[in-house]
Amino acid sequence: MRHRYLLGYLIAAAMIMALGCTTVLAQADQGTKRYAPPSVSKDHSKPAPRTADGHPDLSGMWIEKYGALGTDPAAGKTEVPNRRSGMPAAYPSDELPYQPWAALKARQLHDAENTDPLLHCEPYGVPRIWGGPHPARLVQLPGELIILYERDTAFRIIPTDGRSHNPDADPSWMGNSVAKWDGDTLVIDTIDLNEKSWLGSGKNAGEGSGTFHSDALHVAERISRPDFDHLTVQITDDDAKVFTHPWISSWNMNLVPKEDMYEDVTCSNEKDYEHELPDKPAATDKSAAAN
Amino acid sequence: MTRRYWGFAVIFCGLLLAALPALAHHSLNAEFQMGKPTELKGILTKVEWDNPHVYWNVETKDTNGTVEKWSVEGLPPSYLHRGGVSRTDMLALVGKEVTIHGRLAKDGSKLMFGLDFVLPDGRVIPVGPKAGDDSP
Repeated sequence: MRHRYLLGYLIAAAMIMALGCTTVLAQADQGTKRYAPPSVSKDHSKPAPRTADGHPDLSGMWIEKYGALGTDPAAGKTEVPNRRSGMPAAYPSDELPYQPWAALKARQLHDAENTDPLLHCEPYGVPRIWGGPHPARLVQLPGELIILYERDTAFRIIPTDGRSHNPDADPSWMGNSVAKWDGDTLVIDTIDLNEKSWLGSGKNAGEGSGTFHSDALHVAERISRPDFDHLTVQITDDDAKVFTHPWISSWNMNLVPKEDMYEDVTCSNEKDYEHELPDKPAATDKSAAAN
Repeated sequence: MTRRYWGFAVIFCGLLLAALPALAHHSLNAEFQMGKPTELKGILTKVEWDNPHVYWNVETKDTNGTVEKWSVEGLPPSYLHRGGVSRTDMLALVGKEVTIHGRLAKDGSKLMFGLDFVLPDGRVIPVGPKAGDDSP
């Protein structure tokens, strides 16, 4: 009998503790929010789907990577070492195969800080439009590929029906593109790009790196889908006026079918330009600057 | 903490700061004093949830009662959304006291780049790019 009461007390105590824990957890939930971007699939086992004509279907919402939020690592401090208290140790443009005069000009553009076309409300253009924490939606249709970029709220419609470049195309930010299949890889060939845009520093093009190019820029984008959840993009920038040889960069993108696309107009509320202070130029060769 | 450990702490924070990324379309170093952590405490008066950067307007009051109007620049709306911070979250803070950690503008204007919000109840809302994430 005594054991029976004891069992009852134990059950009651367990119920009270469970209720208490639930309440505490609920309160903790109300005060704690998980600040983390969505996860992406690491599964490489599922094969890429194919369209009726047998080619891989590149359609989908793709993102290279998500940006994560963080708190101030130096909160409470009054001063910490600055990575660029002097001149930068390395320039992003140094990774590109610029001719000597062009390398110098790229450094000067970088040092000036406020020379980035984006700060002047101009478009990203090809190839800078790719990569980073902004998704791109690819829609593969018979005879054309449509790419909708979140970055810059931009789009491209690229013929894949075997036609040649339009010989009368005007120079433009996104250029004059046609594409054809090379096995399971779609190769987009782009010419007639204006010389106003920057190439960016590879896949992450945000930094004002001074990576200018000429009107001779020829871009080849090789896109493949090695498995269901991943896309590979390889870009070759060929510009004989400023490079010693073509520059190749590549990266992978992740399928994010449930991702929303946000508006990303460049200059809706631009306030940075008036606060940008140029650093003292490191490169002072006037002959280079004149080019 | 001994002076030696403070030295390690400062170097560690410096390394973390060195990993702070570029903004969506320009360099943090071009506009802000990245070597000088700053704390701004005041009333959040307005949220400009717009591109290319979110801005928060904050009114501070000094010891003499003088009110100053500050502008705090943040990441793009898409970046904040995907990191778990929404416009609704921020609008709910309008009229409330907030403490914002960030970096002051180089040009001496009342502008700061915001890295996190600390609310009166102690909750911390990250709004800056995670150290080491170079993606924007």
